[in-house]
Amino acid sequence: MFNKMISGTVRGIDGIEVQVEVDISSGLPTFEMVGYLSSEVKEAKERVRTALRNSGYVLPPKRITVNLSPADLKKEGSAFDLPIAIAILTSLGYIHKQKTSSYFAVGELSLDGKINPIQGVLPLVDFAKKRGLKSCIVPEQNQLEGCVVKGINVYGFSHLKEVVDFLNEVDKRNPVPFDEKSYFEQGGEEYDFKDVVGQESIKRAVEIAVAGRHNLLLEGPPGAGKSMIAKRIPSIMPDLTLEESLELTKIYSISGLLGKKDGLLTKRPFRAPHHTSSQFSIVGGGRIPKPGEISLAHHGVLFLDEMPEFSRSALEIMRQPLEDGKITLSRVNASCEFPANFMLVAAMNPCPCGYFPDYNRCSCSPNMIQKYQNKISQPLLDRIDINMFVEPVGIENLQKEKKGEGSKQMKARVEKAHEIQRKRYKNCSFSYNGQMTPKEIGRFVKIKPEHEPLLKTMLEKYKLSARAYHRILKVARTIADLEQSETIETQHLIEAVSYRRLSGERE
Amino acid sequence: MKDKHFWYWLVNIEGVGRGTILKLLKEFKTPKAIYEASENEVKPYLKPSQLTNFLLSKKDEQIMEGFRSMEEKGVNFLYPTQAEYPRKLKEIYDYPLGLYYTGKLPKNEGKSIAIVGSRNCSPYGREMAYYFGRELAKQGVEVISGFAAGVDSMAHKGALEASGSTIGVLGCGIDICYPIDNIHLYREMKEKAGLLSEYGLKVQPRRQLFPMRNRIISGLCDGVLVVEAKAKSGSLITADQGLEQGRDIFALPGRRGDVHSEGCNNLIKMGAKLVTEVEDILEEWGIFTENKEKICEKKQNLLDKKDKMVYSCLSLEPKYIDAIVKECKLSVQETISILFRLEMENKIKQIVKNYYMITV
Repeated sequence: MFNKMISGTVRGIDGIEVQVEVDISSGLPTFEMVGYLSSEVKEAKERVRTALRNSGYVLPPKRITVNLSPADLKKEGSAFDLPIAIAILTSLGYIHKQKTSSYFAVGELSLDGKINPIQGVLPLVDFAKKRGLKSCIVPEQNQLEGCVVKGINVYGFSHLKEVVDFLNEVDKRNPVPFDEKSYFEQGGEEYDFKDVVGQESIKRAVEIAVAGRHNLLLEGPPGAGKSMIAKRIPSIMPDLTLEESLELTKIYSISGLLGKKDGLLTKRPFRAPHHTSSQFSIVGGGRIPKPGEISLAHHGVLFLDEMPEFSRSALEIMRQPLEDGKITLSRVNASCEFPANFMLVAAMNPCPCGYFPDYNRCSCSPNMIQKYQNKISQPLLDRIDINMFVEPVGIENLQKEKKGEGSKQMKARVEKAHEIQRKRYKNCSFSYNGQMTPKEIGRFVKIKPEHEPLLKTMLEKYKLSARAYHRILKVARTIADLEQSETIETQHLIEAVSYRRLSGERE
Repeated sequence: MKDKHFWYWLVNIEGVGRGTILKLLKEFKTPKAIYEASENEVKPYLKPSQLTNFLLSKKDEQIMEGFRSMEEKGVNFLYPTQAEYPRKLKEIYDYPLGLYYTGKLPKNEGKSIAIVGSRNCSPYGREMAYYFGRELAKQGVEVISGFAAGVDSMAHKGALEASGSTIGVLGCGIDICYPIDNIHLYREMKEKAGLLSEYGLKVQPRRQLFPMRNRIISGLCDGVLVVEAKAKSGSLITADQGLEQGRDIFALPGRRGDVHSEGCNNLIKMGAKLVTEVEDILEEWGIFTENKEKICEKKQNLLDKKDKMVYSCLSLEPKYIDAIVKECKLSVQETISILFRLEMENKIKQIVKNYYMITV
């Protein structure tokens, strides 16, 4: 007897359909599985057979054939255990009604019939909804992330028996409720700029960087507070919208990084990979590509501490995603696109010993300093609009100095600047000043004629390249937006120039 | 072959050093006589290995060709008996037997000063080297230095800025620019000033060559000014040799505990003249200037109130932007724009990102 169940698998950050077909016919007793399966899917045979027996269902000595279609798509993962079991039980008549066709099911089975969690439930449920299905059967431990999708009923189960009862309408349970508000109202930020004593100029630079989504480079000796400042950057970014939140949760869902209690991620991510990270852990990879750190930092901050210590390849590989806000990974088996729209925050020491320009402590020769700084390539530096030097606040000042502004006030100003940019760029492919290309700068950043002599002297004095010039204009636009000024004023240009990176050569 | 060719040959024999050459000269009087002497005549003065090289090197055509190609590169050769040989250098007991130079030669008349100091110096040291190089050059004093990174280069640059006369004494062949970062300065020095070396073409810089080079620096000048030197520094060798050669020794003082000035302070303790103004040096030589101009004073008079406030909290020590903001009690934005204006007018400069100091 033939039966079919709809399930799915994840490609990139989206779900795609996989149909689980089961046929039970007379013949020599055997359990056959076909359909371009990886070994973990082939092993489903043993798990399903044992789980069924241990849950009290008897498998008759018949010929059982399971096919996962489409047959040309490599199937991976353990999510097919549950749909296979349901399809077999339906074929055997344990599940009476033939209504399984409107259900979508994923889940891994234990030998005792328990249902174990899987990765990527959110994109799968999202797919099921788009496919027009009414209900989803998911492992109980994944139900919170599954129920985030609106317009489809999600049911979570912990044992195979419960699923059978539910499908036979013995167990009349309600779908898992979703309370969007509760997620978004969840407590405040862990880190606050209130804790940063002094460092007024850095805070200002950070605010500008976030307001225009400019990438940021913090230089300074060890213990200056670079990491402390970086950690607080998400706290002044505007809240995630539901759409952004869903996109982000999907990425974490397929990476298996969602905690049991996380249904929806509502906080901007802050990713700080160690400097020994390989290029693949940074951008993502694998035979079937999985997202890397840049995607996990989507809509948030990717913090590279000790940037010169990262391998050259790990850094260079970020150049293209920094421009495009996404990464396309092509492998023999699959080609996937992952979103990677992040703000890059890098921190580094100015020299190998870290204490330059404290000439009494730093023992590095100008050559060594140059060499250290050259570890970061110019093209990558060209993508970093704002560069600041962080000086440690002395112990006596730590106690003496009054606390500065908190994240709340800073965030309010950033939100206003974002609002202005959203309006300005509503018909464009980008939404922040930092993402403008030179062509768009010409369109959106208007320089007053009276500023031209100033710009000219600036270019000459600092020997600025055309690239650096464009960067200054972008930052100036953001500063004007922060002050809610329609036009760019002298003051804005001057401040923008002060955030440029000084050319490596010293005199 | 002329005299210059014989001298050129003599100083370029592989393995034959200054000592041997002097012995030969004592016996045969002129390089020409050495060249024309028979194998048996020179044998007592040379070791066997030297003798082989000595005999092999006696090839007229090769010597003439080598000399010609050197001259084609714009490098000139000087030997001690020539009238053009720098007079002050000739006075020292171990004067070089051959000198290569390009551009101008050191002046025989007038005063000259050697400005020396660490390669890895502080911004203060750089500024001071530049300042003294410029101001002394303005007074017609020739600036001699070692063309190394740090203090040396800044002294040369200062002198060039004042269109003064300056001589770089290299520790390698004159056709090699070392350190390579100084290539712009190298070209400028060749064109507007002079470069000089004891070593033949293509001689690579080696660490043992530099102390030797230092005796030429001190030999060429009337006084040695040490701008910045750590407790153990090559600049102190120059000062020592200057002292032996009877030159005046000047040193710029540093604060107690400042590692970059420890050597200078020690020199002062030992009797070097403490220098804070150009006049301190000039008065030793009886040169008196009329338009005394103290560092930074004139610049400050031209500023308006807020600019003045920001400017006056800066010094020759680099200062971090937040410290300036706090001291002046201005907003970050306002401070940035004042600093920018001052920087544009070359009154101050950013030594590294966000660290400001005044210029001299």
